[in-house]
Amino acid sequence: VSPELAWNDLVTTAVLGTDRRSVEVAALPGSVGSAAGRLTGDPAETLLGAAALMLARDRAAAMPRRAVAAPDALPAEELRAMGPAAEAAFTDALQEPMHDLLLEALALAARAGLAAPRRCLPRLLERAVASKELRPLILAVLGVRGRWLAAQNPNWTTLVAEASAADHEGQAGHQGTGEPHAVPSAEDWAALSGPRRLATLRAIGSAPDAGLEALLERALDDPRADVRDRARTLLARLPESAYVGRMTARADLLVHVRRRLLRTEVSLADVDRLDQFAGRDGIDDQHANPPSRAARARIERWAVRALEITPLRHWDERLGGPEAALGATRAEDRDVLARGWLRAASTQENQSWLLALARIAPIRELAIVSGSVRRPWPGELTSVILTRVTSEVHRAAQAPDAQRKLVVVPLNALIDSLASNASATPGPASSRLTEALLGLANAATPASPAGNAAAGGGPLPSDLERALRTAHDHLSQRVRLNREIS
Amino acid sequence: VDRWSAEQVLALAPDASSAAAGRKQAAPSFWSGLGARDEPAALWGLCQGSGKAPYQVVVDLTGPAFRCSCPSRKFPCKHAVGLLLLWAGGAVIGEGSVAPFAADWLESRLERVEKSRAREAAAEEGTAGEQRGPRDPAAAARRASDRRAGVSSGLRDLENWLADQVRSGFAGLDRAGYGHFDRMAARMVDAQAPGVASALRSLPALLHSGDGWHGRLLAEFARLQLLAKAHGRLDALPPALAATVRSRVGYPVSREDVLATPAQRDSWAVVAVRDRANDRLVERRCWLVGERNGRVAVVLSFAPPGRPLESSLVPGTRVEADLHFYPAAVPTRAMLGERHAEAEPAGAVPGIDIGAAAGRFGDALAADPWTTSLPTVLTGVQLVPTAEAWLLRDRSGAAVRLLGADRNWLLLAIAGADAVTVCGDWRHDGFDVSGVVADGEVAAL
Repeated sequence: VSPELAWNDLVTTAVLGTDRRSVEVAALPGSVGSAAGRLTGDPAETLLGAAALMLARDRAAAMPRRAVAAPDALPAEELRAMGPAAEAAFTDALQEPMHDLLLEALALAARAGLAAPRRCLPRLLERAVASKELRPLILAVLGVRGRWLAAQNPNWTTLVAEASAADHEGQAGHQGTGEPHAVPSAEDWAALSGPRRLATLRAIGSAPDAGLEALLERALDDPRADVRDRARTLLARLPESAYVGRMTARADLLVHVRRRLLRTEVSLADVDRLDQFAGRDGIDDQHANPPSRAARARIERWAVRALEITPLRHWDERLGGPEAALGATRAEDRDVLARGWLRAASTQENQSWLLALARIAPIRELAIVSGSVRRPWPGELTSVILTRVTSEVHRAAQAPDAQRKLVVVPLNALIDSLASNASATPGPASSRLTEALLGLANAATPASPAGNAAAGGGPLPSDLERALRTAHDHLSQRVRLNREIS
Repeated sequence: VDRWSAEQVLALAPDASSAAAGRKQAAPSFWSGLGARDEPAALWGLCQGSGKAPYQVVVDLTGPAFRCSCPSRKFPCKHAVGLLLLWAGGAVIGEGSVAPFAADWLESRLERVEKSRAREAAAEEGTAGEQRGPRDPAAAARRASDRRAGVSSGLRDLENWLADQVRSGFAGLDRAGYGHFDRMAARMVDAQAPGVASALRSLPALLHSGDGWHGRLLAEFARLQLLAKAHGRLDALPPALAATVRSRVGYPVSREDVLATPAQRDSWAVVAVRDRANDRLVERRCWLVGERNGRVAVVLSFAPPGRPLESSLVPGTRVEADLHFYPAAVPTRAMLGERHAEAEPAGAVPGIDIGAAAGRFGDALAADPWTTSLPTVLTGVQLVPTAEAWLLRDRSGAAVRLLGADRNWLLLAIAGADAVTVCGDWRHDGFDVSGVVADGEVAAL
């Protein structure tokens, strides 16, 4: 009798009960049988004794498996390994439930050609499955080992496929840059399906050729809203296009320029309707409902939209540069016009307008736009925005609760943009900016005497303080990441 | 006192997120009113948290013991960890008079320590006097024999109960409910056999462990019956085996008795640490390997949830120290005795191959038939993930199944296809990895 069968026989008897089934323990195989034969007591006790003997014998005699083949060695790692301090900073960023620090850690590691720490790999792969936003950056730091690991887990294998597809696409795109983009003819365009038309416009990229204008103009009448939106975005980047011309004309209608004897005065004009093509050009709220007090709000929306697309060169010519333009603007209209011009300055990447507007634009608007201004920022812009943030912190500290609440969120966003910019700015300028930001955040700590002085002597209101401390918290982690991972 | 290392501080943190949170709190900008005292050593400071008033944080370094005015239920909280990290990182903390918010608590700590010292001194005097007091040997012997009699009578009931189960058969036991086992477990608690009680309490889970539970239950019943029978012949057993039986039944072993065993001095490398929360206590297991004798030991420590655990044994370090093993037929559990040097990086760790480990497990079962797991360090092993099971393979091609699937991917990420050293428990059905040494670096899993 094999030990296995003998054990199963004991189990069967135990399941049925020794009252119903008997077992001959002395007949158990080998030394267990002779030892069990000496057990005394009733059948139940004897069975338990025999089971204990078999169990100890089987477990003690178990032999390891033999002749298992060795696994194949991994190919050499292509990425460099992180040092211990970088590993610690990276691991902490991975602990954060929010994406932004991890995004930054991943971007830094990818830029420096570093592989993620080995023990982070399983969790990174989990995050890559869960988040499309993180995925491409995570794929960049997996290294040979991470991809090898992912290939063995059914939940992760698709990630590897995606990574190699992205590589492939990247190479194909690279090869294709020399050739001009194929523009479909008018007949071809009409024959394309909606999704194909959208894909065609998306493929054009951010710098369309002037030759595309006719096609884009035609796309403004497309039945699909997303195609129309994309066409407008592309047309806005063609300063000589008819579309930009129409917008410029509307801006001239909405922005009233009055030349007095000694000075020019710029104000919002009282316009109650726009031309018939305004809706086609994307100013859609012609018939927007709110009737009474909304007239002014509607004019403001029109103006911001028209200014955003009008080339800033136009105002340089009409008003003589940003400082002159802003100086001539009537106080009550300044925020609205600044908002439109600021958006234009950001998309047109016009540094002199950006700089002038950063000094006076409403803080909320600055916060929105600052996120999309290409980094690293010129040093002058950085220092202007830092000054704005500092003075807004001080002003907010004195403001009544309701007003302050409006400022805290944009202020936070602006500090965040500054912090990202600090990471993107190379060299000593970056560390100076970081220090300035830390100083500002530290000013929120009542414990520091400098902080009290900075806040004008009194303690900061708690919401502002919290916002600044959160910013500080993030920033110190960012500084640590930037210091350690490079 | 010497400043602690950051690793030492982080080992105190109750979990990884607390450690990360503590690291964040270690920025000087959060702190004010920092102060320190050398004798008895203490630290304090005010930490600005999300609330309006800063938190008052005090650490008694002699304990260590912590106090913070924050509402966190973690212990130590992130503020205490942050304060310790700040100090460990070399922040300049001026010595001066104790801050008022720290003074009362530190004073009360001091009183408590003095009181317990006084109690210990009184107890020792009582022993010296030999006439009265709690250490009356005659009374102690009487209590011991009372306990033995109580356990014996309880275990006789257990033997009868076990035999009854086998007589009437296991069929239907999976529908009997927890109460069936709980009543017997309660009887074992009354009989002062807590080891047997907890073994009984783990049985209902076994009944729902899927196909083959009958066989697993028979195995557990057989082991319990063997234990009860062995206890009946306690005086006839060799002393080491008798000690094993007593400890499995749940007789207490005093610290003094363990420390009275001969010291095993070696350079002990800490290869793994694992915390496990039970209902009332958190258990921390540290696996140690002796550099010169290759012996593997487990040091256990316990604390209520949220309280700090033993933190002087840091994974990845080694320390020249005495270990005292709990008396047993196969001594594995140990207590840390005198330290002879400061901890240093662990470096290489000695281990054995899979064939030798299997042989060692057989020897352990022969000496202690209740052996379920044996702390072991395997060296030169590679991971082989196969569809059927993950294996650990040594250079000879011998292999053992890997247990603990939840940590397998982490282990594979760290080890890759390299030959590494792993530490853990050899069990009859496979190897449970708790730590790995790859590229000379120790990682606890």
